[in-house]
Amino acid sequence: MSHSTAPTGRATAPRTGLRRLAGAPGFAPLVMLVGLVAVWQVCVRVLDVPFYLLPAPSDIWTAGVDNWGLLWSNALVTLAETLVGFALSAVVGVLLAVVMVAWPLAGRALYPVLVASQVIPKVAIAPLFVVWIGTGVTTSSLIAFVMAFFPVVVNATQGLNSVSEGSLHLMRSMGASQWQVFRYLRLPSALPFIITGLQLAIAFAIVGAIVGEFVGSDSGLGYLLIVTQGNLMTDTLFAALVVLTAMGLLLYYGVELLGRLVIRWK
Amino acid sequence: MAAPGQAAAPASGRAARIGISGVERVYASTRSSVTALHDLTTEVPGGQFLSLLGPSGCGKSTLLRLIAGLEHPTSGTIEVGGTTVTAPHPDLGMVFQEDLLMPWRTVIDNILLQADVRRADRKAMRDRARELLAQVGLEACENKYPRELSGGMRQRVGICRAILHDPRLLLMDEPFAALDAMTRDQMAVDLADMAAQRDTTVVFVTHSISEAVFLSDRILVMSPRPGRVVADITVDLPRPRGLHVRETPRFADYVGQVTEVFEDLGILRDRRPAGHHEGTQR
Repeated sequence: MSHSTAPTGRATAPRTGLRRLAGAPGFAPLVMLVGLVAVWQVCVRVLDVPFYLLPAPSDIWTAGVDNWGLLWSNALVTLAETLVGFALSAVVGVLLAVVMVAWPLAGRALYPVLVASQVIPKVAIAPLFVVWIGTGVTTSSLIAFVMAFFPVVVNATQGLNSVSEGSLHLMRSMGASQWQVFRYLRLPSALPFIITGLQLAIAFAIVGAIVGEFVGSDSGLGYLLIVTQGNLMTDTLFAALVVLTAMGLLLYYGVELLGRLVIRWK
Repeated sequence: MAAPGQAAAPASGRAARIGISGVERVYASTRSSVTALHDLTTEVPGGQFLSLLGPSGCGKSTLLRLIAGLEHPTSGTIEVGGTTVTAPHPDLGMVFQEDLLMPWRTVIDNILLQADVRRADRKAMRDRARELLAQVGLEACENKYPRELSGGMRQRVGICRAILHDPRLLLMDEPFAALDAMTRDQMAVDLADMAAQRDTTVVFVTHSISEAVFLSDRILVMSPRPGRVVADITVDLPRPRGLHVRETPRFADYVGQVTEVFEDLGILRDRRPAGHHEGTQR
């Protein structure tokens, strides 16, 4: 007992430093990631896996550096499609929720249609979009929007309805109009819900953009995935996946940060 | 006692008179109907502090919502300040059991919600809000968010919000029910002072007998199934009242009077005195 608390300051100091490091947020996932990459590298080299099946991380890195211009220009296309689809889904999603809450009859009429639109696999209707609009950025943005708006509608509706009867009584006792109830009570109450919906939406929007590019496009990371796969450029394919993942993480945490800036009272 | 610039005593007669005649409130569903209030007629003169006292389900909160214009009587009419109530009175302040502060607004902005909704001059009202905060000892909390305050502090802010526009009628629905006993006593003292400084009629719903006696000019004792007034007691204790008034025989008299009403109704059942009990049993 006593020897652990005894004056062994020199010995314990680095240990507590390490502990502090280990406790830092992001440390555990980082160790996990580095470990996985190392195991991957060793396995591929030792088992001599052909590079077109599974390239080693070092091969992916080299491919990424060599094709950086290609990756970057296509990533920008996918990013633009994702952001357009996401912005559309945010605006349309919140507006739809407002309409559905303000006019319950419209809400009851609309809801099954919305649910139905979500049950249909987007990959299945994506070719229809191509037939209607043609291939390209517009189609991918629209598919991103169609995939992303549903969580916004659902969360915003729930948020707008999350006000207590007492709060409604309070507003009415002040003589508040419907618009004032919306502005001073319902909308601020709904904000945390809307942020959650937007976090889901950004993830769905990326998937939508990629699906759009799969189905009919001549640019974007999705297009690059198809082309590299067809040419057995598996190392570049993985590099594109890495870029896509990084973009997704950045966007997701960007929305989360936005949420924290908007919701300062928590 | 009165704050500077405040009407010293309720004398000008702007406080709203309430007339309640033949009011009945029935909550009807497809299967059954419940009479929450049965044939209630009374008059509340302007400036009176009236308590509605009774157990749960006696219709006291229903009556308050009817006076507020948040609900409508099944039959009968309610007048506030000479006009029949069909919607919330424009000169009404209301305090609820929960503080209902908006977590995204700071303390001062929560009080100013009353001004925002009424489209009043925010600048002038801000000074008034500060004055009210100082009166309840929260001047340092102006820019805090509600989550940083205790329950008692939050309810004080709720009261400030209700009286920001100096209403002629203040309706309070068990405003201290969620507070601990000590805070509750302090709030009662503060409320008594604030009401005395203002020319306003107060209707106060509570299920605490001593709170009702301490605060009120008059108590309507109510009983459930169906909700009706069973006693109308005028509390003639001198004002201002400090907490020590509760130790006086006259205070005990009033508490006894109300308790007796509840005993007669079978709502309260007292034990027999200990000595008597043992004597008869053995």
